[in-house]
Amino acid sequence: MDKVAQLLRSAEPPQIVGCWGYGDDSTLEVLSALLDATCPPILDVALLDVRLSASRFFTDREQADAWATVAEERLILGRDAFGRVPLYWTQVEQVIWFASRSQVLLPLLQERSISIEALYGYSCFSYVPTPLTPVQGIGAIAAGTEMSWTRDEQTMCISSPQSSRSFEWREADTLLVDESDAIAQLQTLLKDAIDRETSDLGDEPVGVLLSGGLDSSIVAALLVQAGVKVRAYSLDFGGAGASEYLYAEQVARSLNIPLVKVDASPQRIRNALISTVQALDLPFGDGVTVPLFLLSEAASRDTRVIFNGEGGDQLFAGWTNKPVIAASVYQTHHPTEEESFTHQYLHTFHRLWGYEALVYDPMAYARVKDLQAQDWLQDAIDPAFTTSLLSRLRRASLMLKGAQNIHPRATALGWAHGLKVRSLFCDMPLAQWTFGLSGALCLHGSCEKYILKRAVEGWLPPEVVWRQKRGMGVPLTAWCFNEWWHDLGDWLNPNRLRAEQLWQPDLAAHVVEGKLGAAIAGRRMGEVLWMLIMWEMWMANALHQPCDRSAHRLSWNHPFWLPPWVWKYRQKWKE
Amino acid sequence: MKCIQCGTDNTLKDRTEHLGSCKNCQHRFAFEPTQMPAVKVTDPMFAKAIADLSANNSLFYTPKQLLYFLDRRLRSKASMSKAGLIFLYFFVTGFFSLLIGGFLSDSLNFSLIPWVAIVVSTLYVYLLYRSSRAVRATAKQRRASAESLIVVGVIILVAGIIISITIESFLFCAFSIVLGMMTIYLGRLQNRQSEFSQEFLIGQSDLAEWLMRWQDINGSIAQLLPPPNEQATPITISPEISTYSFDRLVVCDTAAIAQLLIANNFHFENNCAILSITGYPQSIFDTTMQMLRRNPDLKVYVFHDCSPRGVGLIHRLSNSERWFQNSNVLMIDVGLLPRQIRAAQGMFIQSSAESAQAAKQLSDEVRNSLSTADLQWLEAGNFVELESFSPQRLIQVLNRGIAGTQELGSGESDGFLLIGDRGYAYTDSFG
Repeated sequence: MDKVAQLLRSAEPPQIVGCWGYGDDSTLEVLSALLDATCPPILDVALLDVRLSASRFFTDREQADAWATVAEERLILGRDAFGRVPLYWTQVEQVIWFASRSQVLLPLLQERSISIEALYGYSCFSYVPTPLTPVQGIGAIAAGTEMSWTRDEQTMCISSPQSSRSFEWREADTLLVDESDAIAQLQTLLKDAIDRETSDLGDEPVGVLLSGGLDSSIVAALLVQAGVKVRAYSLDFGGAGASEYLYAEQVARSLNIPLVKVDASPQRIRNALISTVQALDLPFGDGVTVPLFLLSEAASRDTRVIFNGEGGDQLFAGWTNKPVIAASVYQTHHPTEEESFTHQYLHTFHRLWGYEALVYDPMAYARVKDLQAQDWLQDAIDPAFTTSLLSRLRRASLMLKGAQNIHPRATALGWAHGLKVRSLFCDMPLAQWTFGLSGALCLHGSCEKYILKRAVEGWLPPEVVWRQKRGMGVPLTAWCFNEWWHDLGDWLNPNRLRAEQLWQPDLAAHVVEGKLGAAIAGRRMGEVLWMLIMWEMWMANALHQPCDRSAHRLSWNHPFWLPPWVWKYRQKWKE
Repeated sequence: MKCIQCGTDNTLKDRTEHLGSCKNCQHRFAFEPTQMPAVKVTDPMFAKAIADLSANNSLFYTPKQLLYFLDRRLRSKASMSKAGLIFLYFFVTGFFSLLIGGFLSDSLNFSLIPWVAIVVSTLYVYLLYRSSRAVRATAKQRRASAESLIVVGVIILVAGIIISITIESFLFCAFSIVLGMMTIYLGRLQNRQSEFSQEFLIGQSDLAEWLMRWQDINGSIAQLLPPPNEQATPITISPEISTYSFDRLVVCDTAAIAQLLIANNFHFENNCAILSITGYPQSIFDTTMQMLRRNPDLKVYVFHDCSPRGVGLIHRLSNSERWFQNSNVLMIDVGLLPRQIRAAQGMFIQSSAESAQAAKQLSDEVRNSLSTADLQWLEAGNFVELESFSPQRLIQVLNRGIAGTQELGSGESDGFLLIGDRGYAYTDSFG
């Protein structure tokens, strides 16, 4: 084979897997080996145009979330701006291999080694920032970007990749300030968006992941208005943590739709941990992943399409913008007065940025200490595309938290159960319209998402619309200090961490003892521990490093073998 | 003393021979404990105090917090428990009675051991009594001394009667009963005080000198806050930002505490404005107040010392045009109150005539909001400063105060900020 080998797999969950370049006969054999024998390869050496959509699987050009196309001796890999479907690539000699799941590409690597840069990014953000992946040698296409390669028939070589932005979020030249106009326009945009998302649905029922918050409730309300059969799914954390279920129940009652309560007890979360890690493909360190996996699992028993409310916070200035505004007011009175917008934004991730010397193994630290987490934010917070603060924050949220974390993980968790994942707020006309809103219409005094609330206040109960909400509160810390206490000794065992030479062996103990500093306390402890657990689970799954007692001689030099109450008493006594 | 740079242990001889520097790395020592008359501080101890107070250099703190922290560290070294004091009594009395009494008895051919024991006991009781009144000792130490007085009194009473029967001495019996009863009385008298006011072991000027020496040798301490700048130099905040508001406001009764909270990003973590009753930060005070008035559901958290000025803070806010006069804003007291101090132990209580005078001048409205016991406590001149707590503890307390009232105030069961407290809430209280 001297020209092109391409392959498309059209099974469920959908995947793109392919290669392009100058290979030999063994290239196709390898390609076949990457796929299940039951899925015959589709070969087309002349032209390839594969487009994947989170909401429709294989789709046309307009609705594609990720694509691989070959035209005029060029390979183009691209992703849409919302980042719902990921795309990865690696180069082996003169062949570019690409796939929508990174783990498909792992067998192509001669050596599987961890990318320290990716590890550092993960520890700062709880996701691996694009264009990195946690495996050295595999790259990720960034959302809103196209990467292309050309080939030279003379030399039979392929060029270095060229990256270009295919889309930029930018602020409108004139901003909408009239509230009445904005409400009317927004109502129309929301209805149009739901029409687009439901146009291909027949009588089949759809599921809504209903948290009881504003965004998912709006989605449910619009679906009901559109005459779609809706079934809602909501999480029940038992006695621990914030009870969102009551609000979900209230919404379901007001919309007259059935609500399925999904048990998200710590035992179920523990049992679903490995399956979730496998579904996610890449490590995602937020606590919502396993609960969302359980929701999707429950929904998949009744439907093939689920809707979520992801993305509302990013578009309409949710509560996560407020800390940056408070920091801007007090900036000149902070001891580190020179702290830039970038640093302030980095603080909003609340992970391990700034704790490098305390969390990494000395060898890893030597490689990490000169890295700048700010570099991964620069494009997103580039002021060239926005003038106002809220537009800048919106662009940053869409490109970072949305496109690199929230949307790809939502797609992965839905696809793992064969579900088409649809997000009302990933609607391009709606999203672009928000860049024409004046800040005061989004954050009105201290009321976040003001214009969205005003637009939908007639569709939902007022206590659902106007209550303050701060994200999904998964009670990770409570579980870590109680039900998962002994598991921490296995998952984050000092011997395992020592053998990996990435983290400090006693990191988990240091976190629970509050030795990392005052900022990692209370719920932040659980968030950090969970992030570490997900990394370790991903390592075990992706790199085939077994994460159980049989693989490592687990040490006992940690506090997690003690009964939690004994340890708590000991800590109290030490104080 | 170990060098903080290389960890080499340097004896006094080493330090003297190397002119106050480490024999290994030549790093200069900031302190020479053998030349410090009253309170002895070593370099490693000072370095550890700085690290501990700042929670491993992750929190800023005020110079006064460092003063309190060092004071607590220095005192704790010299403290002794009640059991220790009683054991010491047995040891001292037994040792001297046998040594001196035995020697004199041989010379005089008459057993003086019980009488020496009575004399030694009298001296010990005197020292215990002094210890229970020492304002430079910790409250814990003073309480231990007071309780020990009662126990020692009972021992003197019982042992004195038994011995007096044995040696058939009415005089000894009388002495023992009088001393024992008096000791119990003194012990009860001291122990009845529910709180003990204290004075600092080290002066602020001493600390300033230590800090200067330390920073001269080891570089500036990044987490130590300078005095708050209370100059009203106006700063323009972008109108785009000042259009918005905050979820809540924390009002402190000192600029130092407001400065501390801002430095430790409390405003960022809780989306709140932070101001002091003195108007700190003066340069953004007016703008911040304008922003706050845009929130019709504003909650104001009042964070104050346990002092006449502190307990009257809500009253001042409610009656000041500059603040919330004629406003229905919800104000929540999350500061220190006398009843909390009286219920807790180990607080650093100070006392002054000025504070007593200020307490007597409290308005009727404030007085009516306090119990008789609270008023008595304040009128005795007692006060406790927020700065006597570490920055970490203050932030925990304030976090908990806000989280708790979020639940109560809104009637929601949200409790988002409480997540994680289950099973890990033992540090979150002033107690």
